[in-house]
Amino acid sequence: MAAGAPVVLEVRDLRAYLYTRWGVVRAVDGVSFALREGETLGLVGESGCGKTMTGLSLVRLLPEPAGRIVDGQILLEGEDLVTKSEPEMRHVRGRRVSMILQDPQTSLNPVFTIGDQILEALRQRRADGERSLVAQAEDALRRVKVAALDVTIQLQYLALLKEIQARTRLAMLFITHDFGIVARMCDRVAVMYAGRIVETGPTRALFRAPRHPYTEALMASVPRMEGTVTRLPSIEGQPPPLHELPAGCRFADRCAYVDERCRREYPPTMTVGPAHEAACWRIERSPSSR
Amino acid sequence: MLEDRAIAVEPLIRVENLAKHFPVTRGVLIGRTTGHVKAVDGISFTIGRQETLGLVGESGCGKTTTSRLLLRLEQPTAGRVLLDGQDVHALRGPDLSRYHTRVQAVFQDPWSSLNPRLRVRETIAEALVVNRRVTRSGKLERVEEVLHQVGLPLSAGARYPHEFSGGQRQRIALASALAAKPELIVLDEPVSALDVSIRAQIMNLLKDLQARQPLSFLLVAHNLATVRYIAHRTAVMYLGRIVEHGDTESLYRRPLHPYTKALFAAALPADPDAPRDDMILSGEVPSPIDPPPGCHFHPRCPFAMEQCVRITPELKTVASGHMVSCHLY
Repeated sequence: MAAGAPVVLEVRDLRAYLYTRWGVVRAVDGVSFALREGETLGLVGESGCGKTMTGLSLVRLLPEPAGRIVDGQILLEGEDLVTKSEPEMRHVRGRRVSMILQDPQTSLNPVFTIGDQILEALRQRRADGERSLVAQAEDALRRVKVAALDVTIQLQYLALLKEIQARTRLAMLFITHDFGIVARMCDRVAVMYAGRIVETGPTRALFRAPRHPYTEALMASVPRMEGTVTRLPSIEGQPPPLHELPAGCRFADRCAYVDERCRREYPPTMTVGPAHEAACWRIERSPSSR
Repeated sequence: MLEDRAIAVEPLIRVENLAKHFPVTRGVLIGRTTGHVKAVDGISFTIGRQETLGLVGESGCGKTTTSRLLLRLEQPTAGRVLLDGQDVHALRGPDLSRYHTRVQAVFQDPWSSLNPRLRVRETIAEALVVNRRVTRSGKLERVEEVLHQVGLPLSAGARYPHEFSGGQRQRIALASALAAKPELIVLDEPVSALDVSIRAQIMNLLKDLQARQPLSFLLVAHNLATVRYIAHRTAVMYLGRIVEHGDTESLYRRPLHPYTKALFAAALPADPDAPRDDMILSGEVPSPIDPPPGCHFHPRCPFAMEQCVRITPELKTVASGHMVSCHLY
């Protein structure tokens, strides 16, 4: 629906590192994506994959002094946010960039402050005619504060976000580890693993035919409301620490299809369908699989 | 012989009309009770041997208070919790010590539930020290046994909690819960703080542990799909009461109570094409200090009738192993 709409935000080869006493944590290590007007992109990944750091980079709120954007561009309607000064950023934050982090499982839920940013953006953009919407949003956000976990409240909140988006053509980046949120909210998905996007595509295509083994395994490991499963396939092991990344594919140690090349060389991003890309050597090995 | 059968049929845990009301006080020095939070308001259920009961509901529904009552961390206002027919809140002396080995708990946060100053093997052995006379070698043997059961290497015993990831810490918490060979483990949101790729590992581990030994679980969780995967039976709570209760299969296939239906409809879909029944409830859960009369759910219920306002519906059996408390049935 947003395919022909103008690109609002373009992130090009973003690298944001944390300089710690254990070494350089490559939290965001070459991330690129674009977001169009009225579009919702889901950025999915587990804790420590760099999704939150990506989000914080967009508003230039990386933890100081360890965090730094070391390379790349964040183009907001063509203007690079990476080179902006702090006073300049203050005009951007809350006015032009409004970010939602959806992670009801953690107590540090940034939805609140960022929710307030949405309201601010709404107030500025729609002085009249949308007052009732702003009131509704305030009401919903207040409730999210009390009961971030509650599904019936969550549903109200998500429905409201959709409504706000429909009226304002807001572009939304949804940072989450929950594929359910993606299924309900997002037009497109980018899956992050160990600092990089490993797969990106239209939501439906990605759910129907995930092409990166990590996406595939992660989706299979989530229990479902429908149908009975006697045994969930689980991904064994842990993601690699971001300060000791392997040379090859970062998922190699946990991958069911790993071969020698995967450990040696990071796979290139390959097109696997319309607007659907994945970074996996297996795609090259089986070009006819789609 | 007959007696043996009677024992076999008796569930491990029997909860009868259990209630916990917390007084709400006003005034700084001399508190004046102005009302009661009816956190748990007369609930009954059983947990069989080697069975998992899932307790679901939104925050404030009373599921955590219920688990704390079972753990004896709270005294009930009314009703009883029976373990093998014995009232657990009346236990004293050796019976009480025995209770503390028979019932264990694993909580949500694997970061705060482990003592950071103790090596893993010391944490696990602590569970044995408190209530059992175990020799030093017996202790070590048991520590190694449970580490193995939860899938951790023996070398893990010599390390400290901070050296482990969230999933591994939850394994350690499970190991220390298992050490004293409990019959019931209360699992309060055991996977919700974990990463998605780690959750299935822990859920599968819980199932495996139960398959290998006579172990019952009370699983308190807000994630409905998690409960479906692990629990044999499920109870849905709303404002201190159980509104629906049944075999997990039956309850998930055919939820009956309007609240259960709304709760299930609000759960996030597994994929973008999942059939969706958007039953968006208006309003929020009312305060448990002054819950609505009659059926607690009536102010938000799309099917509310005149009698729902006045009469509290009883929990009725509507199908084999499926009970609902609603005037529609």
